[in-house]
Amino acid sequence: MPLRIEPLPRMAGHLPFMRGRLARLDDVGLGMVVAFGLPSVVNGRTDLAPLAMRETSAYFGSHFNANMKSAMDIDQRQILRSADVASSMVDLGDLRPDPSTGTFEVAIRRTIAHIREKDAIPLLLGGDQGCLSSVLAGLRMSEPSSNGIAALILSDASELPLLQANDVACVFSASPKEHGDPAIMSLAFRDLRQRFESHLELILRHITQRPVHVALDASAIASHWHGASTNADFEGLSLSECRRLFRQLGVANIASLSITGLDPTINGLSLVKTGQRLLLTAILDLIYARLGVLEARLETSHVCI
Amino acid sequence: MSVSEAFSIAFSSPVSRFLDGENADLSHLRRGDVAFIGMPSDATHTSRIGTRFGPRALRHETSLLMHQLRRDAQCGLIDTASGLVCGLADRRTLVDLGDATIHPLDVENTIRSIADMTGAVVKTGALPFAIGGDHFNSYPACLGVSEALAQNEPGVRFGYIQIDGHLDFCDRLAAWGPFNHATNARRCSELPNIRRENMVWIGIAGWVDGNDVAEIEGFGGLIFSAEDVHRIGAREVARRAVEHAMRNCDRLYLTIDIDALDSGFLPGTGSIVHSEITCRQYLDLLEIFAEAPLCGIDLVEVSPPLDPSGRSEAIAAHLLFEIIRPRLVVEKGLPA
Repeated sequence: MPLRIEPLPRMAGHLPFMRGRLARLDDVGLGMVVAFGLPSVVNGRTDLAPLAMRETSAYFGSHFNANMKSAMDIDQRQILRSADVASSMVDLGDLRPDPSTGTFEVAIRRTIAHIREKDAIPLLLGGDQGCLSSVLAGLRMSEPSSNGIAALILSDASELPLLQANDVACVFSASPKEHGDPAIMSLAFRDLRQRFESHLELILRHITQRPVHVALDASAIASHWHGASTNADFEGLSLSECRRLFRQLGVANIASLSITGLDPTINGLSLVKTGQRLLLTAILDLIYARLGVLEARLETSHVCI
Repeated sequence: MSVSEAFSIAFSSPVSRFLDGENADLSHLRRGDVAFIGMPSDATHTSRIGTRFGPRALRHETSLLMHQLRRDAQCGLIDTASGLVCGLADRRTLVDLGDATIHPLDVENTIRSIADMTGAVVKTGALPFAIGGDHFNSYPACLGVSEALAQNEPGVRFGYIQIDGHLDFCDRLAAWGPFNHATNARRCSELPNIRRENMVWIGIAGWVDGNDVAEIEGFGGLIFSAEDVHRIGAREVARRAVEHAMRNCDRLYLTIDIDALDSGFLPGTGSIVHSEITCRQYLDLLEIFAEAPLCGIDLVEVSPPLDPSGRSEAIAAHLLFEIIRPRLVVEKGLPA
């Protein structure tokens, strides 16, 4: 019997992402979400984030646990097809730096390309945001004949990744910068907040017909909801705004995902790690929408009394 | 000012009391009093513990709150919402009965101990206000109310409102059995004089068990998610909740789990949620419930060790005050 459906205390045993299966690169199959850690750091201790996110994801391991027979998003009133999630989620462990260069770049590129060649979805648990160029390079390697690739970046701390001809990027931040390049669309968080539908349409049009990498950095979430990022910003997104965007994006051609910028040693306003739970809650919406494992449930008339 | 008046008991007393009320036993309770009971137990919480320190922290915080109010009342309190001048009512209406005896390794004895205290309060005509502790302790607090009402007023039925980030409607957890902080609402729903179809949940956030939702809505219970609170408005949700909970009922039991507040504001609790419910919205809910015909209240899940800043217990103290406010604050009219 698989370990994850036993009534274990939440943190007992190995902690693969979402209490999914530990797997090797060769085990990756069609349509899987393949998590791997990138313990890289530029500032702070983002190298501890992969472990922290795996620990927090154990909370959501209940989504395919026998105790939680029917996981439901109470806000959307959608039921999760737990069995489909369980069979789709694997964890490769953490990347090691390339022995010849001592850096992660080559390893990231190869891993992303390998997972994409199996038509699976890489989920990079960063780490710092410096990995983005390598992620996009890996995506490009696996799509040699495409119209380029698209990056959708939610971050207030980003340096733009290296783009090539036909690549496009859509960058959300608190203070958008003018890049002078029509391939790069810069949008403010507040614009998304105020004109969601029209901006979503703009984004989808910009990234269409390309495999899309979605990069969520902790700095994209407004600081008053958590304290997990070194870049305090009160113009950022709330969880509900993030989830709304991800639910809509999930039906697009999302090819890969990354979460970066989480420093677990910043205690998230308390001993309780509110920031990492928040990031994971957001990214799960994107994963579930991409996998198509949510089923609508009939709305009751409860608000009409 | 004499030398003795220069000292504040609320700050210097080694023992604080809820809202700096009277320390008394049951024999001193009168009809209409509010009787506080501590339930310092987190033995029935399944993950992050620390709520056993909740009653002590809230005694301290609410005493400070009352000290500030009394000091301000000397100059004249003004309710900034209504613009009315207010005064403070006689504090003898507030009584701290101390803590129920907790048996950490014997949950059934703990249930009896808490239920006996809240039941005894109901029999005097006073209002029991139990302070946790983890949310499971809400069940014995409600059980005592149920037993005493059944004895005193056999025909009386009561509705139930739970403000919470979670449903707490599991039947049992594999490693914890039927008595834990995820089962209290279901245990309450099994009480003979509670009307299940009058049960209301407010503030539920994130992922829940869909079977629980189906069962609750199947028997006529009502769930307002956190999203509903944002969409409909806190006051309107509270009004609809009272209307639903009081249909064919005489009284209302209110259980206040502070974890319905977004953990960005209030992280010092055992099971956090990202509800985006703010302190203002929570206070708006409680303002409506404070006017309802309450037969029992509990406030649970304050875990001081999980928030060294002390902010969580300070917010919880304000929530506690808000529900008691109509009994404490007297409106005197417009400023001169």
